[in-house]
Amino acid sequence: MFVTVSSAALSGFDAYIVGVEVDASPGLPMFELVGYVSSAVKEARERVRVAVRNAGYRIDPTRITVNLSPANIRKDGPGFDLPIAIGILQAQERIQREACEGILFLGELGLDGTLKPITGVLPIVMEAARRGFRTVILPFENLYEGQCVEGIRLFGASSLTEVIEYLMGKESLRQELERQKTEILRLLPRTSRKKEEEPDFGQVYGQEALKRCAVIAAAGFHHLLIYGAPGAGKSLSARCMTSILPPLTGKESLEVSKIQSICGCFDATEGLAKHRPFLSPHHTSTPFSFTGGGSIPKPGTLSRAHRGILFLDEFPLFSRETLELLREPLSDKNVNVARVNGVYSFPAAFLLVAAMNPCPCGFYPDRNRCRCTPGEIRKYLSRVSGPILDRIDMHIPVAAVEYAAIKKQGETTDSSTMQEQVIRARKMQERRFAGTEILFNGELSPTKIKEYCVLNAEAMACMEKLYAAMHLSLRSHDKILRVARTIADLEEREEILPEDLLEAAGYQSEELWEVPGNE
Amino acid sequence: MNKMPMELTHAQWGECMSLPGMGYTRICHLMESYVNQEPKGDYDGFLVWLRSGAYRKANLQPRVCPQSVMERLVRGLEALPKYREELKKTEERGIRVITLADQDYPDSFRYLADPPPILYVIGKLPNEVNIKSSIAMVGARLCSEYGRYVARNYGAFFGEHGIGVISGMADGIDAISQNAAMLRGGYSLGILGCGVDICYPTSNRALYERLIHEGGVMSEVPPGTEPKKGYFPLRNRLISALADAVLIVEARKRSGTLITADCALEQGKDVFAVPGRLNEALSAGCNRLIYQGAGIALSPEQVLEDLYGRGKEDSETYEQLSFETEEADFLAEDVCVPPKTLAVLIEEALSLVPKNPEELYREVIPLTPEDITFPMFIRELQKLVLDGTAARVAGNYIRRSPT
Repeated sequence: MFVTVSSAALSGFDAYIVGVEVDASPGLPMFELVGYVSSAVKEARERVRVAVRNAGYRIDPTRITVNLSPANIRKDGPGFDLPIAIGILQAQERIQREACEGILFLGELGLDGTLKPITGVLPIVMEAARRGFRTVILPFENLYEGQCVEGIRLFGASSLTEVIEYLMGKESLRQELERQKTEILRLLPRTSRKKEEEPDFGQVYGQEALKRCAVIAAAGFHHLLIYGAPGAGKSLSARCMTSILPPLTGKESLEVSKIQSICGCFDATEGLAKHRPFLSPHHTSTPFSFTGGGSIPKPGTLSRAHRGILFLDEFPLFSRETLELLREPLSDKNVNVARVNGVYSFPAAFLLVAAMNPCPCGFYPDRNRCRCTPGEIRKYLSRVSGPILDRIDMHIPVAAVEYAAIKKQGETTDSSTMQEQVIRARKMQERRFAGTEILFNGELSPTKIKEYCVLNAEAMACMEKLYAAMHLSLRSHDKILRVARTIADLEEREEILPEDLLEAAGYQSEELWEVPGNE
Repeated sequence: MNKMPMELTHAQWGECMSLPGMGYTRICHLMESYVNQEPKGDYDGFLVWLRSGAYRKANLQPRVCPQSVMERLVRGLEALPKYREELKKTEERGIRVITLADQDYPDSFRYLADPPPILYVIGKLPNEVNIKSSIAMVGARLCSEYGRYVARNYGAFFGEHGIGVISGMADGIDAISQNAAMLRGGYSLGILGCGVDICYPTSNRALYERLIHEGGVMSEVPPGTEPKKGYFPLRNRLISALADAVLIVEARKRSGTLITADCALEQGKDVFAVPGRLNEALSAGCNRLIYQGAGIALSPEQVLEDLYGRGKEDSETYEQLSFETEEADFLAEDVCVPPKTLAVLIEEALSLVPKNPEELYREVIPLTPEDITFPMFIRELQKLVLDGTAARVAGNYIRRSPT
């Protein structure tokens, strides 16, 4: 007899429905599993056979053929164990076909018949809901994740036996079982793993310049480069930046949760993700870890930082190859991974905060401590290529804080004040860009800048003087306009004044790359 | 005044000097001994005397000409024909070969305890150019903005006023001073620690080209010699010998630059040093020299006055090399002083030491009457960049120098 049971699998960022087709016909007993499956999936044969027996059911000695459709997409992972088991039982008429209609099955089976959790549940349940399934039967531990999706019934089973019980029962029994599970979930003690205290700018003493830049960067989505001597607090400040970005919108939260789910690090006990991600990869990271990959691509670091902050400390020490990979996400806001069977796209709209020293030892231009020759400095700085720098709108130097500033506590701006400013500026941008695809000032291309950053005569005269006095390039000119636009937005002003330009120019450090020679 | 025991052409003299182990003292000793044995002998006879081993019969001082050295020397005679060929090539390349015996040989070198027997020169020597005198300018390789500013200022002034600048073409103060002088149409001579045909360090290629075409380059080691650590202290003595005075712009407590100062003192030359702040490592050497009695360099005019002018009687005329400020030098006591504006406060906080904007902000806000936020502060700071009062170095701000 031939039956089909529904399941699902991940393909890059989204899930797709997989039809588990099972056929049991007379013939020499064998168990064939096909459908472009990986060896990990093939192991399902052993698990299912034993699990079904240990759950108290027999598999008749017939010729069993299982096909995972569509057969042209490669399938991986242990999540098909449950649907295959159910399919076999259905094909052997131990479960009725109607009982499984409209239900999606998902889960790994242990040899004793227990149902074990899998990764990527959130996108799968989303897809199931989208495709009109009534119910999803999944492992109990994945119930938290599944509950993040509205509009679909979930049954979080702990074993194959429970699933069969559910399927065999009437509607009222089913609802009762679902309710019981939800109740257990609610009563479970929350794991003592409290989310770490999110760093707050109130903990950072002094550093008014850096805080101001952080606000502007967060408000307009301008990528930021912090440079200065070691120990100045670059790392801490970058960490604090997540606390001043506006709270995640529903859509953003879903995206972040999906990515975390696919990576297997989604903590769904509090529902969908509430905090913006903060990723700080080491400079020895490989290009592969950045983009993600694998034959069925999983998201890499760049994507895991989506909607959050990507902090690259010791920027020039990253390999050229790795840094080049930043180009795509910085301009297109996603990462494309090409594989034989297609191009997978993961979203990667992060705010880049890069930190570096001005020279290999870090103390230039303080000649009391810096003994780097101009040649060494140039070589060090040249590791950061032009195209990446072009995308970074703001540069700010920082220095170690003096003791006097640490003593003077209680007067530092804290994150909530800063976040309010950011939200105000964001509202201005929402209004301005309503109806277009643009979201932030930081995204404006040179043509769009002409449209949205209009200068009056006075401002234009100021810009001219700045251009000459600071020997600016065209790129810096555009950067100043974008940043000035955000500075004006922070004051809820539509007009860009000369003072905004002056401030924005203060955050350009082109001259950092012009190491003084002997002229 | 050193007198040669034998009359040699400069080519013959050069040949002798090219022999291994041959130095000034040794050559003189050998020639004297030879002349004692054969009063009428000439150069070729001298070579034969050496080659044949006849020198062993003369009473050579074992200290000056030990046996091993002599053997090596005699073996080296084989290489003479090759040397003659090289010399021809050198001359064809436009490199002047000047020996102790030549008229062109700088007189100031003759008084040295160990004068370089041969000099290789491209371009012109100081006495061949229309300058009044020369001053040596030396200093640290990894100099600060302050040192850069001072070196440029002095170099430019000297270049404009017909004073030659002698230095070693090293990175930092040396090159900055020489560039500044040449760019103002002045004369500069670079004395190198390698062959005159090699440009070291390579980053100073442009300066090197300028020197060989419009100034001069000199070395006491033959063309093609790669730079070696040991050659640099040696050439420092030549720098101080050739100049009328030595000006140290920036030097750490222990540095190669101070060797040049020592040479100058041994040679009886005047040493000037540029003072600096007490917490700057690069001024420590200079300040110490001043403490030990070197002249203080407050401005190029003053240094020249000290060297060639009336002397230090009229001290009021010595104004420190300073920036144009229109402020009065004193304020009448009963004049009400208006509070300073933010711009003025910032300007006063700027110095030639690069400062972080955060640092400047912290310095200035205690002095302001109202609350100044950071954005307000940085706007004023940028205005100063616009009008030329301030400049940026690696994100930090310094007071811009007039030149």
